[in-house]
Amino acid sequence: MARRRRSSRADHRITRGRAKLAGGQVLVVNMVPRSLSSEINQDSEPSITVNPAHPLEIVGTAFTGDPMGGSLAPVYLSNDGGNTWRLNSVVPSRAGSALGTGDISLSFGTNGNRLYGGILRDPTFNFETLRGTNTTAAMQTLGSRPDNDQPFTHAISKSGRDRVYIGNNDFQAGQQTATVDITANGRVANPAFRSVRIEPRATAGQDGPQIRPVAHPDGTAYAAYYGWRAQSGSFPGNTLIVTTDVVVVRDDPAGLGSNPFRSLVEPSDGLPGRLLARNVRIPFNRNGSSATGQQRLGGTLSMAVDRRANQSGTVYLAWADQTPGSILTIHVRRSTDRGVTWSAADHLTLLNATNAALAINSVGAIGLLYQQLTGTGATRRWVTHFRQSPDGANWADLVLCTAPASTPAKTFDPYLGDYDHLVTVGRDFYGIFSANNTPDNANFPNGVVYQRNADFATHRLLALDGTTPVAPSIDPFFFKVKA
Amino acid sequence: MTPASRSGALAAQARFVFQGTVKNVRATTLKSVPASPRTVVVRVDRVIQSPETLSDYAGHDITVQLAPGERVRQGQALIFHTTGWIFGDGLAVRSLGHEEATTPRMAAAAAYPEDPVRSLQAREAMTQASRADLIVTGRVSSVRVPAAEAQARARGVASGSTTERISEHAPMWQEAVIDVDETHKGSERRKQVVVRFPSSTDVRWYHAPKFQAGQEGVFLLHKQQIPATTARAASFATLKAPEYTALHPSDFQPLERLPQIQLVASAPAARPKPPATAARRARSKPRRRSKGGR
Repeated sequence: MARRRRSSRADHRITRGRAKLAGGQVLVVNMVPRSLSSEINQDSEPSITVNPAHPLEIVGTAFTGDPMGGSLAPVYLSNDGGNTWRLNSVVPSRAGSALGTGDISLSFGTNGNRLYGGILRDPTFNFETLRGTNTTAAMQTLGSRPDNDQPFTHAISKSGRDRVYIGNNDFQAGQQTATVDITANGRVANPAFRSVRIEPRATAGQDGPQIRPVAHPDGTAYAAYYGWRAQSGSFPGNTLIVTTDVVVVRDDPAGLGSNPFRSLVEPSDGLPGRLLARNVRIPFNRNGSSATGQQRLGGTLSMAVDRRANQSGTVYLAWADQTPGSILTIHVRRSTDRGVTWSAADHLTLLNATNAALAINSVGAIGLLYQQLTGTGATRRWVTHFRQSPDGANWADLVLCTAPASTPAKTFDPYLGDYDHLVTVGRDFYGIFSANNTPDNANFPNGVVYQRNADFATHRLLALDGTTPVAPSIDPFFFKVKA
Repeated sequence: MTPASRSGALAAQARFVFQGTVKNVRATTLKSVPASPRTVVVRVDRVIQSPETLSDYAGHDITVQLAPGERVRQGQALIFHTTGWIFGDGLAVRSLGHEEATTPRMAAAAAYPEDPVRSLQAREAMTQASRADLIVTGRVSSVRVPAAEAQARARGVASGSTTERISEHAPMWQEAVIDVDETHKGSERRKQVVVRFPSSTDVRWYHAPKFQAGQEGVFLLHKQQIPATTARAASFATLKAPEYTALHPSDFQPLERLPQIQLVASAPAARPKPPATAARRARSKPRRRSKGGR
């Protein structure tokens, strides 16, 4: 026993050493700090933002409650480029909340150091728009309204102003629920957000929850969403299948005109919004199951624009549908003419995959993060990939994590999250995903650094004392790829 | 204020209560926390009340940020009532106040002296009991889908469109019918009570009790807790005339906790003061009585 203790301590010292980019290319870090070595929460559905003005400052989020149930929910904060992380409670919540916050997505402006976000606040799940002037003080609530889902934030600075776009599924918008909340300048004392309805077509009662805005410094703004057209099966019965279009809208004056997101017209019906895919089918699960690796499925959507000068017409979209033999299939397509036409064939087709997250770096290289279910029965694994391409044709593949899909058993839905996230600053890609945290080097083929106590020799997490075993759980993992 | 009531007022807000020895003043254990007149390093001697994740801190040094005006001396053994601050390579907490680590105060601080996690759970259960509108012991005789919700589901399936909103965060309400053995709080004197609870395992609802037929225990029930707007947004949610809801994990308790719950239920002023008021009260009196601490 004494020998095991000594071994464990030595191992966890190693894992807590200063992180380095494995092979000079990729850094993967378990974000749970050492002081929370005993935690066994399901820290799923992560998102990330890097301060472009100070890239060492990075904020991550997940379904992580304040460990002491304070009135603010925590974010994961790094001030050293992602090498080390701590929890800092700055997000509005409620005292005693075990959840912390519902859906959360934050984004720094390109400069100015301000942090913006959208959350579903515990306990009402009202959609609240947030702003922080730094990463250590409580964020300010700018607006709040009920009946909403999955806010997704994108901010960009231009001429001393922060344009903030928050995609959201607004159930107060009648049956055409796809919405982007926009402010022309988040820096003013009381920024006004305008709710722009981007769905012009009839729906099956509502649109899907994923509404993903992106913007270019030249003023071009895009958004993608699932336009739900019909449904069959039952959501309560966990058999719902939605028939949906995949729609891309664009606005050339930054979404700030009188009638925004109507710059892109579909030739077949003359309505705003190019139909990239029509009448595809997606499952919309109430619960994940063993067949889906415990992850509930409901589509996945991500868009990235080439932010280089004169490249705002180049945009990539990742979306998913259900194809025979695959629980969910990701398709990656590209447009080089501002969304008017799209590649006829997929640039990538990925079976049994979800949580697509795209980003384009400062030299036009494309990155794609996704999580793929492999194997069958008890051998199912969630494999988290980062793919990178200089041109959309040739893709390198880095496996960031491969871990059993059956353990730990989920404590709630979603198991891994309804999304993960990827961003760029300069040439570097920064991402976040949630996964089984078993400390096994075989699960992290490109290396990993743990802050929490762990014994990689025995594949056990350890409590604060460095000896008591801790059960595996779902943790958020940060990664950085130097392009 | 008696030691017991003072401990109670502090503990009502603090999730992490511990006995510790002040090792250094104007000191810190974390790089990200600069030392200041309000930061002290405290060795945790014994954890009294704690969430599971932090229950193993005995023997470790942590940083404590003192409350404004709070003072301690090196070498003092104290009971600290704290909330969280920074969780990094080490732990930093914010003090709500401290007390001398006397035997009566130690006894007052923990319901289960040997189990800090259970002590916190018991305190939370008592808080829920004080907030409950109706407390009964009994047995769940059946669980069913509310009639209006079942009808809405049928309409949605038949029409092929969403007559109600579909959201991952939908509560998926169910109703548990409880055969009441005894009422311990509240004016209801019925043989059966219906309680609505979310059957959803979504992140928003998984903490709520999931009742099953045959389940026996103490039910801490609350009148309408869901705003009408939220109910409208939730899939198939038609909370038109709920009897009671149970949303907090402590709203169902095992029968062995009944004696403690009965004490709370029979207290004349069952509802706790708002935290800020309680905090001010807890802080102000000791300041007048003690120059060494609070």
